Amino acid sequence: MVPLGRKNLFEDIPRFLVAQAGVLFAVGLVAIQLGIFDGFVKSAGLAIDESSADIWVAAKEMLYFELTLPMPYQRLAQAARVPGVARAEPMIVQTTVWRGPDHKAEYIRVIGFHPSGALFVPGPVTSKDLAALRAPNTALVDRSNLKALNVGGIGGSGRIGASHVRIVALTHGTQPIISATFIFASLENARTYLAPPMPRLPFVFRIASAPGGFGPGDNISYILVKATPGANISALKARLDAALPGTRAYTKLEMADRTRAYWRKRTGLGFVLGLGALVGFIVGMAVVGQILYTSVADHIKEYGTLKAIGAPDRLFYAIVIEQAALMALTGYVPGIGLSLLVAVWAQAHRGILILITPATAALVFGVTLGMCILAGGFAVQRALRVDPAIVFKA
Amino acid sequence: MSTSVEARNVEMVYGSGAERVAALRGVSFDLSAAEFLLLMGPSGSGKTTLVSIVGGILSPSSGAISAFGAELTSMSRAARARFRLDNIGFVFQGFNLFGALTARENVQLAVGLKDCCKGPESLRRACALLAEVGMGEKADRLPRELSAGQKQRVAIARALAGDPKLLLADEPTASLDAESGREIVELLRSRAKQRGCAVLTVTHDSRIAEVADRVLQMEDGILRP
Repeated sequence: MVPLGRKNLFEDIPRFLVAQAGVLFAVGLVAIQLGIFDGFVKSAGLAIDESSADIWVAAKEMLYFELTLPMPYQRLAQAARVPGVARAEPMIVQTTVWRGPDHKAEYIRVIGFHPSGALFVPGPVTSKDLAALRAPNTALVDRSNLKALNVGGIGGSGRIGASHVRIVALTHGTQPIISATFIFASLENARTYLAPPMPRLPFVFRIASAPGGFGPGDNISYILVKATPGANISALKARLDAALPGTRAYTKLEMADRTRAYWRKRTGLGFVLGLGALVGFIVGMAVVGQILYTSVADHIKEYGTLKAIGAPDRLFYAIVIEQAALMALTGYVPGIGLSLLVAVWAQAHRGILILITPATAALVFGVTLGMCILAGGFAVQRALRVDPAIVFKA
Repeated sequence: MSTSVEARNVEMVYGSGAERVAALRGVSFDLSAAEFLLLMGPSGSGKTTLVSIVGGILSPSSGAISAFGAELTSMSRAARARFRLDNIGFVFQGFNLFGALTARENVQLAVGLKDCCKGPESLRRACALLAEVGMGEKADRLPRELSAGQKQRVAIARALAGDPKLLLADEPTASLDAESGREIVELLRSRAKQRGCAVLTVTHDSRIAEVADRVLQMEDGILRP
């Protein structure tokens, strides 16, 4: 088989490069939009992924990880007594406001957990970091959030409510893309930070309450449960549901799925990012279609000659599809490479997770190939419509 | 000598109503096997229309064309394409070679259209055809590296790729100088005679007339002997 499609494509290098720029743009846009969406969905459940709990117990009204109602602290002890529970640890998740050194407000989610516990660790941290969190008025934050909190690093400080909070450790890869800034603290510190403000009375100074042990009057957001080895998780979930009124138990996977599904379905982000990807697809198709169409138009007499000779339609399809596939391949490789570089940069400098997995990369290649072949469809129509009588015109 | 092509009362009308133009008016002629027939006449006399109809590219408004025993006018578009592939070779004034393909690949592309000549066989046959037209040494040259005469030789090799029984040549010497034109016509004639292939050539070039077996003059869509 004579490689006519390939040779025609590479005959005019500047035009080929213009086409490749179009494909590269389309690949980049589609890959990054998909990557942002996947990263966003993935990042929404990072805190759950970080836990080693088998079951998460939440209030029945819980919508997703960050939006739930409190439950009484006594539920923790009740959960620990349920047969099949090896360990139960509390977690607090609540929204409040951080004021940095410049007093600028930042919307934050305080996540309180047991630093000495075994079921939750906020990303890659050391035992020294966790030990530091036990001290009063301390917190641990993701490196990507330092700028948002207006602190330089460890030792930086700000205020949450009436508390003066000091950053004692840093982590990374824990912050969801679209969410308030996460701040991790010990359970006791979290309770202090989230305590309602004292009434503003004349001549009364507002002071932060001192951290102390949890009692019946306290609330928590979640109970993280580790099952005994060999326990039937479904049966344990049912027992927890029965033993803890007003709550519902989820496996770790169910909890993560529920959180991700909330963001996927309840927000318009998928639509917006999908629209961006569609724009990339359409622009890429327009550029490739125009280039292939021009290529056919430039060789119209030669194609007419093939038709005059009696070439079947499948030959024209083969030529244009070969060109389209080559454009897809040669545009895809640099396009996906560039997208991966952008993803690495975004993670390193902005803490934004752009998740381009092998499956995403394969999907983008399929989309690119489809885009180029669809664009080639317009060009092949031009070739098929050539009047062979054109060959007799000088 | 057996008859290759028979044209009977062929009429071709373009447009309709006030725009109606009769390009061919009751044209009839025969073309024998291995005959070198020249069709001459002024521009717009209907020569190219007649060649297009004989080649099965256009369908006449009325009349009948048969070639090698087959009635071209009753064939579907696809059947005519198949018929051309099996029986007819074309040579054009503008060569119409793919600029990105070498001489060998241009010929190989046409050879490969035949079911019998795929893969290495198409390569072998393309090389043989180029050698036959004196272009064996330049098989790997691109068209832009060839002179006009050499390009037309490649185009003749391509036209012979399907082992045709009829060669249709439209102004094959119009883009060539006198000497190259004479060589090309000699080549066309010799290859056609050797293969027993009929040739119908349209031209303005009166110098070709001396090598033709017969010359037909066309004027205002009417053939004059």
